[in-house]
Amino acid sequence: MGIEVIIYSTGVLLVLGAGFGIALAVSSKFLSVEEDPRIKKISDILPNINCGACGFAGCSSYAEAIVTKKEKVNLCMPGGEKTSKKIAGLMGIAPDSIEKKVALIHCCGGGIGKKKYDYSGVKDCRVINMVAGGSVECDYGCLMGYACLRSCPVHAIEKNENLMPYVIRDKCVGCGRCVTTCPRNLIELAEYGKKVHILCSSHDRGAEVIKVCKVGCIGCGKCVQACPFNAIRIENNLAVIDYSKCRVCGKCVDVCPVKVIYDWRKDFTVPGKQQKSGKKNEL
Amino acid sequence: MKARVTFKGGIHPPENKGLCGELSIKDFPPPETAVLPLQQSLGSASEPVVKKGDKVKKGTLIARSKGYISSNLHSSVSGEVIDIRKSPHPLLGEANAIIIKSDNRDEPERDYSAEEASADSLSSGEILELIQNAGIVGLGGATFPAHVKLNPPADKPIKTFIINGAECEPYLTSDHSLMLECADRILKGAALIKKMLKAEKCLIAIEENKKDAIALFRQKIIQLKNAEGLQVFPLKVKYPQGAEKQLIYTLTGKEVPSGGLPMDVSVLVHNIGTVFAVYEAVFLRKPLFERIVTVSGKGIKNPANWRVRIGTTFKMLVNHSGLADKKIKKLIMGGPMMGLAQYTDEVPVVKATSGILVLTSDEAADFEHLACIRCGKCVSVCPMGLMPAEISKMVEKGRIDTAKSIGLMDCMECGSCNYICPSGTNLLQYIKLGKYEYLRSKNVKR
Repeated sequence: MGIEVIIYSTGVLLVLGAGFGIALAVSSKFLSVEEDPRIKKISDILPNINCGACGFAGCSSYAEAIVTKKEKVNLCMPGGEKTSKKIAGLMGIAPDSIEKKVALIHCCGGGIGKKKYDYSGVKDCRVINMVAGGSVECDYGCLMGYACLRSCPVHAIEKNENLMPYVIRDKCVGCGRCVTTCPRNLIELAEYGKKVHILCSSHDRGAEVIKVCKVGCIGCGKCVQACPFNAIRIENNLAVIDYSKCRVCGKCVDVCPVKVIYDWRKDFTVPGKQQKSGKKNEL
Repeated sequence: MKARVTFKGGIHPPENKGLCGELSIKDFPPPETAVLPLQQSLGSASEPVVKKGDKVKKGTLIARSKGYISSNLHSSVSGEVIDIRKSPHPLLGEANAIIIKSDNRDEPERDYSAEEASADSLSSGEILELIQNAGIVGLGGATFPAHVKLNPPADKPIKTFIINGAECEPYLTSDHSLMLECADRILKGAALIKKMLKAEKCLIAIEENKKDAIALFRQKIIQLKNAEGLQVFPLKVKYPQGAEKQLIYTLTGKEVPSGGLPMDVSVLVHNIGTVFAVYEAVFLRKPLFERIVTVSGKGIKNPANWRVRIGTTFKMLVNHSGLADKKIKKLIMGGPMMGLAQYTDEVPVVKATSGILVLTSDEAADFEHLACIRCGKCVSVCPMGLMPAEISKMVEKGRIDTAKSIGLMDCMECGSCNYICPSGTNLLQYIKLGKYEYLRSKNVKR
């Protein structure tokens, strides 16, 4: 084997390398796609937790949609007013108003309600809900499988001392992932400003509710009478607050005989154990 | 005997079929109150045609089918309708049911013992109507309405009709005892369906652990005059040999396409119990209001096969058979592999109930759920050729699309992977969750 083998092979490689290099340089010059620099900027402004609240696959695809499809700038729930204003300024349009919303679990009896059977298997409420219609007697109660807790991208859901999941209101970004995860549709996005809520979803009649749960709405209607703004109505054996009328006076909280109405401004007490513990709200 | 062809994979769980001892069918006394859930088949629930206070007889139509995939429901006792209310359902948890209080006279709507002579001359349409009126559903457990299955579209003719007598679930012997007791009638029903479908072949598939039934059917077929195309096919003893797609593969070598139906490969499969019910509906004009149920398990003192009226509660059957002096762990409807654990014994026998098992704590062990060690045993036993561990992991991580792409929806939930798993992971539950999530996401998108 002579020296020429080395020379030839080196030469071939050099020629190949030079050829590809020139081809790449030319194509990057002539075939390149100009990306709007605003996309990168908006993407940096967005919180980048990819929660999906805006309805897009992630923050960067929302940024792209804002620039290319003229999507509204107020869709980012976690970013809120601030982000919306920043993006609007960048795009040169007027910002739309944005309402801060937080997730709210409409059940407080999951841990203390009556059990139908002992469950053993995958600890996920979506699975438990498939086994004979759930492991708790109440058809509308939390199954304590914590699918919502695991689905939360910002870890805003925790277990309380009854092992019932609850939402830390200041951490919650209102993306709504837990809302779609809950197999029993117990979670709702509520306005942050409205701090009085009814924490029960049971449409059963009062007598049946009392049989299975200590903290279930029995549809007695006392809150309806107490409300000075006619904001509460009984719908299908369940008290429902009309938030457009509610002025958060808190009068319904004291009259509720089963204590399912909660006022988040007062002493936050663990749902279901409010008489005993006096734990302060983390707000 | 030459080596049997069979499908790939499968398991061999302990059979425990001997618990029932002698295989005879005993008549269970009609219940005092019959609870008849309106949802007895796949598809939509039937619509009641009686109201509170109505007098009914045994075999009276009490609920009519609603929609294409739905079935009729008949009273199983004579007496009075006392209520239509929510009550426990073995498959759904809770569902609406017609409650009938028996008057203890057990008066039938018509005489069900005499055989109609005209049955042989009926046209296919008339037979189908009789089957539909009798409210017959697939009695193997899937409860698909029989009249829908027996009426394939014109562009998909049925060439092979398979009668499924595999009964591969452990413990259960209800089909076996029915085969031994009513072989003649089953063959009559088989001939009728074969004629109706204009099928070339009719194969009776029986697992080899039921040698007496195989011998009996062979002997009966020899005695028959026009037994052309009728054949007994012994199967290798393996779970899930009785699963539709696996059975078709074993018998014909054809594979049902993913997401397809047996009629795509010109095959129709019916359970042995369904064929018997078809015989009763056409020849005796008897609607489906009773079925054979195996009551077994080590928690039962006297396991047996009973001819039970639909609507009898599990409690009555279990109390009648006696509870053994052991620690009882689970009450299961169906076989131990695919059956469903019940939370109360107030649930009634429905058309899908092939067995009631009372399992003791040494039969139904609690597992410590450990992490997957990637041994691949689940892959080697999966009769559908899937990777259960991979699918369940994807579901656990919320990646339903990936799970779908590796065959999530092809799983038939036989539970072989869960049975074989040395780590005791709940593969099947995750796969079921994945199916639920997939269907939900599909509905949301629509």
